[in-house]
Amino acid sequence: MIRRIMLKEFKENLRQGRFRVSLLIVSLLLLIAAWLSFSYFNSIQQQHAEAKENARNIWVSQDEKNPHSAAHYGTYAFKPKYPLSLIDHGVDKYSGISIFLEAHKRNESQFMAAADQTGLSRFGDLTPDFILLFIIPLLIILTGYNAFTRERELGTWQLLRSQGLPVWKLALGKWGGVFLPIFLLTAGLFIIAAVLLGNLQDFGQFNLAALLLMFVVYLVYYAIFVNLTLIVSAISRHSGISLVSLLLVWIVVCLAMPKASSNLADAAFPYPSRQAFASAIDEDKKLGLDGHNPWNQAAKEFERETLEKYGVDSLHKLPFNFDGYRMQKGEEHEAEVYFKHYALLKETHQQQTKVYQAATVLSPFLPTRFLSMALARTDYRTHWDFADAAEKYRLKMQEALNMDFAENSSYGNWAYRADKSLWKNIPDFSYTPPSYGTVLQRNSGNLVALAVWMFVSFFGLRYFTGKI
Amino acid sequence: MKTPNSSRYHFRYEFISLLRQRWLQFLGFTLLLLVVFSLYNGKQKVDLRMGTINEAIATVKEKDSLGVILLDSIEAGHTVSVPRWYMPNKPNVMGYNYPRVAAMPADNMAMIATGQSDIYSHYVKPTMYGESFELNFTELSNPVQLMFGSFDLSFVLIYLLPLIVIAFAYNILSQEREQGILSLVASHPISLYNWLLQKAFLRYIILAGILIVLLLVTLPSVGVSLFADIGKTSTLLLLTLGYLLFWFLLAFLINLRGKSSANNAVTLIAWWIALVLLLPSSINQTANSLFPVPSRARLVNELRVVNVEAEKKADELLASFLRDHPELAGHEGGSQGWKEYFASQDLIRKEIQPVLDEYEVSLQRQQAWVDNLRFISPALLLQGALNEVSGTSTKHYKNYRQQVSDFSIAWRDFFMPLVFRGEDFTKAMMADLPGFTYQPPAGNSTSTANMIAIMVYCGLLLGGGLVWSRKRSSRALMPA
Repeated sequence: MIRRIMLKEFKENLRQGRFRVSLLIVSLLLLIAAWLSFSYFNSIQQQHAEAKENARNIWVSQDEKNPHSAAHYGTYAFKPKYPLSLIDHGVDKYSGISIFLEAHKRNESQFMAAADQTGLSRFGDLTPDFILLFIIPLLIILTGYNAFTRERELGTWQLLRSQGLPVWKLALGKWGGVFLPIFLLTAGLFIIAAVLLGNLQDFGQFNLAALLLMFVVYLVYYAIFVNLTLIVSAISRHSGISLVSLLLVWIVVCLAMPKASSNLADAAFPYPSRQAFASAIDEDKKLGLDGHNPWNQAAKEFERETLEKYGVDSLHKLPFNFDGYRMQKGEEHEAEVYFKHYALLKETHQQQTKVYQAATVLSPFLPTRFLSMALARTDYRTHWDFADAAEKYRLKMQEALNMDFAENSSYGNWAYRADKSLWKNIPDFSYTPPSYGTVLQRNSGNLVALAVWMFVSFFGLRYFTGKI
Repeated sequence: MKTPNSSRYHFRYEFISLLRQRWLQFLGFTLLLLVVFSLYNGKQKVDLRMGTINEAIATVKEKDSLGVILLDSIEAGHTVSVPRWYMPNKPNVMGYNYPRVAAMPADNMAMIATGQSDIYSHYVKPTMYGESFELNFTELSNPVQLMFGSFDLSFVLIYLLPLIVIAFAYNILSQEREQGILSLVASHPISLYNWLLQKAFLRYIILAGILIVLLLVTLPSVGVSLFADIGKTSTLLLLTLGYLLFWFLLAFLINLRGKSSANNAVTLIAWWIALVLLLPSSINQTANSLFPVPSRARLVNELRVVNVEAEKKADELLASFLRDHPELAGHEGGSQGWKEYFASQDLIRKEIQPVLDEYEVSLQRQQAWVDNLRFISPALLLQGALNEVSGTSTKHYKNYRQQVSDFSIAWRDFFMPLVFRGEDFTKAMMADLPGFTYQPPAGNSTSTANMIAIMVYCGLLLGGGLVWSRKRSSRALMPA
């Protein structure tokens, strides 16, 4: 019986010109978005590969030079793009694409795409995630807002009730009728994505399970919206009121809550300005060992300790070049300073994340948004991971360069030039993102929030339809 | 025939019925909440921005006074307890360690629209050498916040206001018909069109009145001076009134079709989705797809190659640089290293200019495309105008970047002759140091043009409605 009601609702919807037009428009938009996203992805991937190769070439083709000059010359780490970013662009537009790796400094990632766009870009892009997160819930509302009010307005409700069917079974049938077209539409997009991604060459780790999981996340999100739509339709007196109320729900869930929680997070736990962050680091750096400054108090202290440790009375008698050694110790001190300040920044970020987590109580959009980005590896956590990996690589690279200088030259010999092979011997930067297991573990709060939303809204649907 | 008395009677009747249905109370309360919350958010961002700028200025002042003490001692021939490379009498030390704050303070109306202010930095401290500001002007921020955007007044006006209008006016005619009151109204000596227009107009007046009063009260309370720039204040108010009118007229026209309340709601919402969500994101997408910005990743590598080449040729460069700058030549003092550095910087700047220009050109093309297409949607017109009124538009930040770039050259040029001549920086020169004062771009051409465009939209809707209503008989609106 439930199946019959579902099919009846589905057919009835299909017969409505309005529904057919909306479905057609959304399908078309999804196709356009997928195509644009795919071509954008390809071009970015190509640019990335080219830039990565160029950066490596520039690094290995350096002439013979002092390793510390090479350290200052530095190289670039480019953030890779992952297959599922085809569906969800996440925060990529706002997080920069590359990090400059040089001596003494941990740099922030540079070149966020949004800074290279017009003010209009803040309205959003026509990407699959935009359609999936914002437009399809609207389609659900447009399909289901009158599921119950219509019966009441046409006077068919009493007729239906007289069939002796429990109301919640009827509600389930209506639920299916609204959900089915959405399911088919979403499945269509994900199948297209799977085919496109499966056929891409040199694409790295395309994970079908992650794609399926993302599909399930969106289905749960839509199930919640179908529940909310039917609840509002069940308690509204008129179709018009139901529709306007649902629009209000949509606005709160998809637009107002994300924005308001951003404002609250920023007000409670603001990030320092770039300049203030940099000066705080500079102040801390000055307190410790400066690898370039032998007269610095910490450097003097370190010099004394080293002489004592090796039982010699002059830096010239050390079995290595003290300049390189001091440079390395300075680097280690600076790395600690950066570690401390970035840990503070990360702490702020985590506090902000807690605000978003709290806001998931009022918005199923938020956990869906965060899960989808995390699975696409376009979330802020992945960006942090990448930045941390780049920093780790930078420190290793600095160590290799400083130690080459320390071990292969004598004290005061700044004219020392390392062989070209040194540049090649430092391996290229490569970044492996955390496994999907870790991603899910990190997002357990979002998974729970989404599950709670689904159960509570199903419960609500049963409760409110029972009261009609 | 319509008589003045009957109009007044209808107005009164409508007003009382809205009051009794608690619509007015609901509207007033909702708008109050939205406007206060959004302005509070805007103020919080502006306070943070001004706080960091003032802090930076205070730090610089403090450092300057220490610098002056050091200069005093050095000039008096005393020994000072700072290493050579921190001595402010060396022009390269002064130019690097004692920078000025080149800040972009918040505009009087900055709390209205966050615009691009969360992306870009509001102050930098250009130094005579080192980091290039052309490349990095973005602020340290949580990208999630940038993605979600801010709950500011601009969001309330662009996105939420139309929805309030839709909720308030989607059934002005259909409800009367559905409740069977329309036949009764038709028996009155007033044309149904005029009656409907009056109903819509009354609602418009009420909503506009509440909104304007709210704005006039809340804006000064968060520190916006309404009289600082009367032109801007009136542009803001007219923009709001115009945008509101647009949505009311649209609701009026859709009611005129004589369909059911639910049908009206669906149609209005479809318009809202198209004008506020789909068109803006589609236009943005076309701008990015048709006029893509060249790869920044490529730029990075190109810059490095240019830098290496310049360093290799430092000697030759110095010679040609001095040929171009005879005023700096012929001095014995000064460090050779610094001279070569400045000469190579000059070349690097020249070499990278074409690459940077390429970005500029593609950004300009994007901007021009978007500027032309903005007339498609009143939401775009309002966003552009509000950003301009708030001083947070892309244009403002671009202008600021240019001013900083000019200032950093002036700053460098102040010290370069000293470096080349091998002269010291003296305390007396402190007063002559170049300073930075941000000059906001003059004129509000975009907001004025957008305001007019919104008015034109309203005129077209009103005209269209009139023509249509003449063609259709009142009977079409009556229940079958």
